[in-house]
Amino acid sequence: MAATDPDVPSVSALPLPVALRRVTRDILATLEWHTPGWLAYWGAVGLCFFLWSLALLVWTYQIYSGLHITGLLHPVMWGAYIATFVFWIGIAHSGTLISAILFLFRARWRTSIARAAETMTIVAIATAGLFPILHLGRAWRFYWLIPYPNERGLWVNFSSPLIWDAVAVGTYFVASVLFWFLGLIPDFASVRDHTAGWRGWIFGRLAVGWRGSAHEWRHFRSAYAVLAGLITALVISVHSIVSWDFAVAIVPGWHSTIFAPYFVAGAVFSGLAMILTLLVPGRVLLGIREYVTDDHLEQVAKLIVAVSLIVTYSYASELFFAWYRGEPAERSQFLFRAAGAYAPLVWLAIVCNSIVPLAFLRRAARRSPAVLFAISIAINIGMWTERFVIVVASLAHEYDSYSWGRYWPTAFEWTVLLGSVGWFLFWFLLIIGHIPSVPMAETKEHLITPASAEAADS
Amino acid sequence: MAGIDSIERRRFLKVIGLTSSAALFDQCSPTGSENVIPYFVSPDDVTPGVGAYYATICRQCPAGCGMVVKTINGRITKAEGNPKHPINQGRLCGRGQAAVQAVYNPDRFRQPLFRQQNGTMAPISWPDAETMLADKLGESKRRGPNRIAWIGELQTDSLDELTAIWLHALHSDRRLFYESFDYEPLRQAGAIAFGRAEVPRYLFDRANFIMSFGAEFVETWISNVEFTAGYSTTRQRRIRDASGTFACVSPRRSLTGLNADVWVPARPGSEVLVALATAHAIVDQGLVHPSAGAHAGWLRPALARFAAGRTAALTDVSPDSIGALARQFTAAAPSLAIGGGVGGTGLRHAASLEIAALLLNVLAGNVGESLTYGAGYALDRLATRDDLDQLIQSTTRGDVDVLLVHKANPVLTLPTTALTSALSHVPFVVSFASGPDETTDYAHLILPDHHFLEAWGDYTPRAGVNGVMQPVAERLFDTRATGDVLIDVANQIDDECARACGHAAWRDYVRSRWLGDGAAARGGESDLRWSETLRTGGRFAADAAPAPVALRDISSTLNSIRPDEIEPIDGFALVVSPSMHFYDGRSANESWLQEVPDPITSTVWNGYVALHPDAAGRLGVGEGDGVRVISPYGRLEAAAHITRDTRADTIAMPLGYGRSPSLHVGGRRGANPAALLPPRAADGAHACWRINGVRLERATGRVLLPVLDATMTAAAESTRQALATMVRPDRVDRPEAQPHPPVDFYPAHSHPEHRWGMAIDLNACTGCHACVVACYGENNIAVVGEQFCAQGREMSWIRIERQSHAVPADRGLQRDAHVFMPMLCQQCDEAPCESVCPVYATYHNPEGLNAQVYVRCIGTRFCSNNCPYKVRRFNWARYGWPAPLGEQLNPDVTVRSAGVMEKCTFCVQRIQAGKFEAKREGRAVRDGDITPACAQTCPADAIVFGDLHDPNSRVSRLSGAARGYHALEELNTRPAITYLRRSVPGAPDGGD
Repeated sequence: MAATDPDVPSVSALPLPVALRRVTRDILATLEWHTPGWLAYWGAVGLCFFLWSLALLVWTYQIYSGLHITGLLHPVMWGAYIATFVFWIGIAHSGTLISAILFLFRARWRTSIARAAETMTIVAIATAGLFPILHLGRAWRFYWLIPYPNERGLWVNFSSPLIWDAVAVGTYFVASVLFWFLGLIPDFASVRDHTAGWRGWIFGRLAVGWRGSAHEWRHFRSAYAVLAGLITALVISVHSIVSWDFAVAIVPGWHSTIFAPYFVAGAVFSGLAMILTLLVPGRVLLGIREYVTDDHLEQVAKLIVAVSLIVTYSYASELFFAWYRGEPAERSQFLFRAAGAYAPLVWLAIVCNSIVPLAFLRRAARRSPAVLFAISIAINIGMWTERFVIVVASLAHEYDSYSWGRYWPTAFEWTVLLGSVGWFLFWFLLIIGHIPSVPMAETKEHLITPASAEAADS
Repeated sequence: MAGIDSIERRRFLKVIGLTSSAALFDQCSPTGSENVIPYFVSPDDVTPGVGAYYATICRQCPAGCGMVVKTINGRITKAEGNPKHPINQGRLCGRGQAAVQAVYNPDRFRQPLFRQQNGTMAPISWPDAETMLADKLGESKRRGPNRIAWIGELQTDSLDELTAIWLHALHSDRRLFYESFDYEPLRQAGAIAFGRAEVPRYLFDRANFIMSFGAEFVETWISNVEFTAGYSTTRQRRIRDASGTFACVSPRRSLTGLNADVWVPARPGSEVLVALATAHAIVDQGLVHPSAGAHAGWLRPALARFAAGRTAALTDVSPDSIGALARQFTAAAPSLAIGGGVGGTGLRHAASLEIAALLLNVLAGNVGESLTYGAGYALDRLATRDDLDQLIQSTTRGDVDVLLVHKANPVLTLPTTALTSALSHVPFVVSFASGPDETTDYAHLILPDHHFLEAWGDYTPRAGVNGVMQPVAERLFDTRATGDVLIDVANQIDDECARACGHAAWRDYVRSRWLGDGAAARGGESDLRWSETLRTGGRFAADAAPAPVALRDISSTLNSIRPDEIEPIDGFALVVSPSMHFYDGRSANESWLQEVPDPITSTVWNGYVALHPDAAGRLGVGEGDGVRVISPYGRLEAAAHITRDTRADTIAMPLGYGRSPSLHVGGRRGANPAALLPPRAADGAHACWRINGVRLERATGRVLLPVLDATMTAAAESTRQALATMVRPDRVDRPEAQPHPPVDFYPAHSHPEHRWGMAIDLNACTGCHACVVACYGENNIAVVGEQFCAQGREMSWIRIERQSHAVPADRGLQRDAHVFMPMLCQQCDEAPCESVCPVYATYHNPEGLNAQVYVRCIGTRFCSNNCPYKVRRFNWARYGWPAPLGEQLNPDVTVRSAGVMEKCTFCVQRIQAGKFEAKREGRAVRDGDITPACAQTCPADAIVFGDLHDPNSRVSRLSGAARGYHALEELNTRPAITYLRRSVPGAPDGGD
């Protein structure tokens, strides 16, 4: 069962024509829910629906009664909502990283997990995008953030990082959806060819007339490569811009040039962890263990430990420059983080993000699904905490000591936060359960090596 | 013309649209229609939407400041000082600002009430109520003389005269003017020292050095607005004096004490010894002013017992300190020594302390210079505790049938069983209060008077300052002037009363009294004189020459003060202090004053026991913990507030809490410390506000005591380096020259016409918070209540940050400088808030203001995060104004909705109005035309506003002063506000 080449799923042991048919059959089977997983699947979807319905209820109440139901106060005007926004944007990053950057680097192991990662990206942006709106004082006016000619005669302020943010996140969402959809076209065609009835019709529409001709493949490959290149740039830019929401401000603890690379590393880090969180149970649920093997997960774990070291380096350099710059407010801020009201969270983040992932230096840890899952959860918590500390602790302890404050999220905010997890999983499960969850065409492509083709020909 | 065949499509649509919408609107009102009738002939002084200003007198306390009240569309919106009034010269304190809220207080009585058989109050009509009163009065008049008693707010002139005549006609002379703070020690001391039982006049502006033994002269004492102005004048004049201008000898620092350059924390009760030791040092060192040389002979032996070396053990003040004080006090002559005020009035020696202070003034030659007699204060007429006790006794004996209580509330500050049982003994108690209070609970008949802003009247706080009061708006409820009630009732009782009181309406009574006999008739010259008087706000004569006084031989008095009689502290000494905001508690029902932080502790909405960290440590209490305070006279529970403003053996509680539950804003908050006090002092006919022998216990539970200043509670995180850049007492330099011209990412703003700016003089600011209250009134700032305040969601656009800086001790004198720093929007030229707003809700206007467009704001709150001064406020909820408080709202300022950010804009509505006025008159805006509410009211004149483009404007000159600096100027925000550094003794070069 265990293949020696980590990049190729176990079906590669089979003769090529058998293997190719096997791939098609296996992946198509994930679309049919005659398995015992049916109940688990729809139960999970239902639970997620319930969670985000609760959050919707809270939001409705918040719009009705004002933001005082949150724990926000003067001076901590941004809290859990913004921290969660940054968290989900971070999650959205690894999908693209895996699809686009690893594609460009020809890391073939990415294939098995690419579809899940891309889907996660889209859903995570859709989740993240809710938060800036959710946190607005007058959420019903959110469209004033969008630059378009309007009857109000008003225009947006392009010097505001929030506008950059809106543009960056919007662009990223559109590009990710395009990239995701492009990769799906040949797979949609496969599904269409094997499905009858109304579903066949739907997949037919989605396949946009794909016939698999050499001509189509040539165009497909170049389009895919171009989009991958574009998206790679976006991976860097989006989280850089999100980080500028903070770095451009003059708040001690935010105002630092390290923020862009620091945030990008953190985003990739948390995104990779989220992939593990989703795939370790997901590959069992979807019955794709043969395609998403321990080898694949180990590759992700290796990447995680590498990125974790980058994140640790960022922490260290942030601290160093807080001292080296000699600015009193900045020093005070970092002393406050180390010993103030939020110190337990700071240390929790450091443990989760810098120390726990070091376990992946051991091969056994990288290959144990249980350890992978546990550590991925730790990283998720650690990264959310890190964002929370960056947003909240900085605001709580600025220049003027009269206006220092303490913020803690209220039950309402926790509900919304949990609801966002529900919202994310709801759409993720719904989508991944109804599309080929492993890229079929690309998997088959990897099966066709000169050797296997020769064997098939003979 | 347009026949049916020539009708156009457009015209057709217009007609259809009009008729159908008319049909629709016809159905709109489900509760029947209301008639809106415009003025047919509009009143002369009402232009819709344009403010009309009326002069009157503030009666929030007995100081009697002149007021100019702004009304718009007949509604009172704002109170300001009357610039022509000699007491306050255009300034007001926070309590005065809040008077407009008192008018619209929802708790006010809406009609007369009488007590039914079952004990509850029921409405009654005015004629019935007056008949009821007349019957009772007539009956008791027939029963004999002096069976009717009057206890009322301090009155002069018309109502004083009328009540005297009226009571005389009812054969009674029982009339007391009751005030909680009776100033009797001052009168007693004056009588002993100079043979004048009166309150002297303190001329702070003439003094070069002030030595106080606790008097709260910038807060409540005698005339706080006047004294604050005088004090700050002295500070400004003496700014180069490295030794400071003000020393405070007191076991606890009130707000006034915090303003002192030197704090001498004497043992409670021993201030009189410190004063006499200082006097001894002056005599001993031969520093006596020539004018007092004659007294040195008998003084030397009389003072010998008080030599600093002998009293140091009792006072905790070293002889060195005493010597230094004596030298400073005499070197700076004329200086000024002030006694204990209210919080220094202990069970014993209160009058002796005043005498000692007077003695110091004599020795330094201050009498006749900075302290004069013959001022003719209205306060001289206040009832003493002797008078009150007499009334209580005769009442308890059943000698009083009818007790009339006029706007006085003795039960609040004298909650002794003697008084309350006396009140229960009176068969018929009549109250003229305009709202519920502790004393109205005992009333059988309530005849609500107008609020003073709705009433005719007059008040003369001191001789020559005759203020007149006029209604600035139509009365709000079914209330009646007490003068009218008295005259009406007199006419119902009998002929004698009717003849005595006449039958003029109260308005005409006041008018004819002002214009002299025979001028009651309307028309012609007297009308002109009257309207001129009303416009001015009264008749103000130049100060009369001070009465010549000479010190009597007081050696017998001095001999009677025995150092060994200084009471042992025995536990804690409790100082019950007047509240800057609530005075003796009377203003506690005005929500602005509850929401604006206590200037000393920055607490809101609740009372506290201030105790030293050492004491708190011993008791194991933390900030906000419940503490039980047990005195020989009572016990109560309150929240602990830990502070270094008191000695370790002294605790302090402010008045104004523990008010009656019938007050919806001020009721049920904290505890009333008056319950811990004896009814009167042991050695004088005055109230006692400080006692020894108080015990403290840790009570269970915590009390919600919101503290707005985070540094007060964040002692553990005392990393205040950042602050050091904000207020640098040691900073004498101008900012160092830039190595290169400032580089900015965005092009510089141009301010073609004006660049509004402000200069705030920290040397003048006393931290009284009047500006904060004024801002609430002018800008419709929401009051959010204690829960929101505790969560850090107060809405105030301007706050006063209290900052402390230890200055090295000097010759045994403790010198920690407190700086009160008004923090409001700095209107930065490079504003961090502007660049981050995605929707241009905040933007830089061409006059340099960081304007905020409320309707454009969507509430991202980034601007607040990016504001280093943290002066932006967010509307976390929809706030409301309980009716009829909303009537006060300023129609020129938007009421902000939930979810938007708001902030100070230098009162942009006033700027617009000032520019419009200048344009209408075809001239340029002059310096002083435009004054924001905070600058307008500042009693210390610490805030100056104007155009920085005009090189001759006051603000331009001040902004260029050597003392000037910008808050956090390292951030390159380029604020429009320049702070002028406080002169701190001991810091290098205090001058500019």
